[in-house]
Amino acid sequence: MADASTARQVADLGDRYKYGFHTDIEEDRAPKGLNEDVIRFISAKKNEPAWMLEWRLKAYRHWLTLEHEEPSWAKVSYPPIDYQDSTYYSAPKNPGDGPKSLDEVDPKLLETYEKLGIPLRERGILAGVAVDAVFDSVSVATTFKKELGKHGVIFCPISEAVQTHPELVKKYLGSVVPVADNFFAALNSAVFTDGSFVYIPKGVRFPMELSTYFRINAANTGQFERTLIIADEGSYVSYLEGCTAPMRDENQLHAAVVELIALDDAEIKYSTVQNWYPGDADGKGGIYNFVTKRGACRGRNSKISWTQVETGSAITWKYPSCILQGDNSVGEFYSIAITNNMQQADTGTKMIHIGKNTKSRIISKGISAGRAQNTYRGLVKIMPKADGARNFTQCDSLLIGDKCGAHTVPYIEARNRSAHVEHEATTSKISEDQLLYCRQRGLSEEDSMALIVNGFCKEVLQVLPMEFAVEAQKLVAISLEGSVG
Amino acid sequence: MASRKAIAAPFPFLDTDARAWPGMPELTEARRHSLSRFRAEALPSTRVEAWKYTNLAALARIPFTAPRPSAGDGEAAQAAVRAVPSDRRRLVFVNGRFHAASSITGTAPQGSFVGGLTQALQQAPDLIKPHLAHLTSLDGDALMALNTAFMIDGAALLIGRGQTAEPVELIQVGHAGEAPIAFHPRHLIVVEAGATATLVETRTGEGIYWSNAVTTVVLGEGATLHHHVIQQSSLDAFDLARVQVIADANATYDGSLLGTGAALSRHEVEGLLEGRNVTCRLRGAFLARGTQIADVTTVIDHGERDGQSEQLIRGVLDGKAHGVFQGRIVVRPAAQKTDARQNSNMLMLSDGAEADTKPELEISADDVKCSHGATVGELSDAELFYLQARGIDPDTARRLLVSGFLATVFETVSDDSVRERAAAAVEGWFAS
Repeated sequence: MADASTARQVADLGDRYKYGFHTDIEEDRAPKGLNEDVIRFISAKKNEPAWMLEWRLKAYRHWLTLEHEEPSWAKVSYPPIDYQDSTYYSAPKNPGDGPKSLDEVDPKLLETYEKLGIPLRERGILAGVAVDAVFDSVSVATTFKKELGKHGVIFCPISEAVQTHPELVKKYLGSVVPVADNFFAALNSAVFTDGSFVYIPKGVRFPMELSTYFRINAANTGQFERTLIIADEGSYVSYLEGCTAPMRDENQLHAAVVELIALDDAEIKYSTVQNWYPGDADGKGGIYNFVTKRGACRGRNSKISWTQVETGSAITWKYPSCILQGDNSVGEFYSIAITNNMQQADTGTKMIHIGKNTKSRIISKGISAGRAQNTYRGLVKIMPKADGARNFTQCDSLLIGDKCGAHTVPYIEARNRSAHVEHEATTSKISEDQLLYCRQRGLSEEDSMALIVNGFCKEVLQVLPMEFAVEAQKLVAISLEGSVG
Repeated sequence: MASRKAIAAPFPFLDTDARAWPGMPELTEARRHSLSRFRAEALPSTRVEAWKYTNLAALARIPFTAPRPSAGDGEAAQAAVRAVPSDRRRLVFVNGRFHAASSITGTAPQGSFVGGLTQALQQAPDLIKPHLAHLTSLDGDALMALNTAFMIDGAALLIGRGQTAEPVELIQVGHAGEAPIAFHPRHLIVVEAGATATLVETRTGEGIYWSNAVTTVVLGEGATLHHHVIQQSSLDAFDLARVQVIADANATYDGSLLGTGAALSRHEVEGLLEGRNVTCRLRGAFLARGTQIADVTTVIDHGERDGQSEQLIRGVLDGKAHGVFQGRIVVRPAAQKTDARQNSNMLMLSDGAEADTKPELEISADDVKCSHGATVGELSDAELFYLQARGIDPDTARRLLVSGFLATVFETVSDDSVRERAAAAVEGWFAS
């Protein structure tokens, strides 16, 4: 592929790296700001091959041309971000920096863990307590590794995959979300620090849920996470991202990219629970979560299913999408987005029907409370060759209180007459009758509301993997605390 | 100029002098300002969200000039009048100018006026004055600014307090000769408190022209306007029409559209429901084939409590036609107990057709009932089979199904003649 000029370019870059940078590699932190040197620093830190560095630089140079094209169409508002005011690489924190014991952790956080029923040992890890005791998950992880090996499944940090499986990374990285895809994806491509890599070999139906939680070294994937999952012919995998417990993080800007590839007859089920710090009740602080997630159903009869429970972050900007290329392929999107206080969420999906007899299903439940703004934004596009394409979309919004907003912005674009697209959306509030019914039966107002809201979300909750579903139900209730009355 | 958001449009008519209006010195300043705005902003490109699906590039390539009165205008007006099966009062416009000879205005009771807008400025300045601000407003997009810069006339329908007016026909004819022309009708409809009016609009024409119309509807407390539009413009024409409704408490706007004409048409309704308990009903149906582009865009803005809005929009697309429906429902924080419903259905009859739908809800009040439903699809095989099994040939079966699909839209129109004319227009579309 590489012609003479790219080869020369790569060589030049290698030279620069060799002479300009080797001294800095010992540093734990990149200098503040973003420039080509910082990208070379990150790449060198990760000991990446030249093609990977070149790929990052290409993304960075494109990102520079987008200076005035930071997406502004979403219904979210935030002060301009100074991209030169961040540090794009820092080594995992020294264990000595965190709180020494749970006694030093914010009691509010502990209260939430209690409500979620998180085991004691795990609370320490989540809160960033420097525990060096051996904990259960290590042994779990060992059995888990054995199982992976037995099936020939590759599941490792993407930085490791770049070293050990460069052919797969080279072939698939950026093939679903190209470096030039959008402002945040370009930024991520340039500076991503780590993330997960999964390859499921032909015909393997992996019996366990893959989760970042089990991935050793997952503790500090950083603010620019990059995930790549490839399901080869006839394989199946279920992947869990995030966890229900609130996570502490110092970085305000998060711009992750997730790419899924499903080949013939393969199926990927991707579930997310996002509960980043949403900021305080007045909207101070909180994570900006600008995520690009996309799956390509490349093969015939392939299927990709996204399920998300979004309760955290000050701002969520996220559209997990499916490109339905293979004939008979199926895309699904199930979403619960809860915003409270000053949170803003603009989330939805894109279903691009390219192959024949492709089907998609969108179920979105938006719940808005406090002074929050919650938007569903989605696209269903039927291309001219997509004979027999089908889509069903249902977007329901629930408003709690009269200071919040719920918005629905679907786009439906049909270029094939045999397409059948159905979309419906409703907006409502929790009725007095429902509340009264619950209260009469002795439930507290908060419990009543939790029950009703969980009922409102049940179509999505029931497609979550078992262990997530139980926690997500509690999370739904907790996220709405303080919104009654 | 924000380059990618605009299409340069150096139309020759931009250099003609806009007319001063009698008794309206404020207009001169508004025109000057609006023209410089249009020159700066030009036409919106598909990168402007409101124009995402309707591309005005073809319009920008045509050297439109300002229309001049010609000998054939009277003939064109008469032909249009003959085509409207009604003996009601009528206002006839040719290329945006009031054609008095073909019009029948009758005598309006005290406090009312039916006629041309420039005529109204001379004959009934006291009735117009309270609403002048709507004509000189600097709000709106580039097309609205263009209209303000070059409007020469339009219908004036002013119905005084508590009166029930006889229905009025508004007949508009586009009549272009060799050279493509552009005109910018500006209609002012005021229905005062407790009054009721009916306006039936018909648009026809020949040749290449661009009608860039703006209709302002002001509804007083408890006022009702039935406003029906039958758009059968020249198949070479560009028909852009914007209706802005400002409604006070307990008012009703009851509108419908049937569109079959124009190379490119856009019917835009913006309903500002400013008072309590306003009712807004919009129905729209369009049929397009060949390379026609038909666009219906609505914004219903519930500003106060207890409002009701209901929308039903249906499109039929054949050939390589492109149908667009964008419908936004806004519910402001004060608009509790709003009941807003919207439905849109697109029927695709051919492989080359394209349907784009964007229904939108923007809700900032909690005690409301809002919903939208949208479908895109082809005729049902089962229904076709049912009819064919009863000895109906495939063509007739398709026709019956399409007619039925559209007839539903007009079921709730109370004016019999409008329902009949809509049905006839659908029949005419099949026959042509």
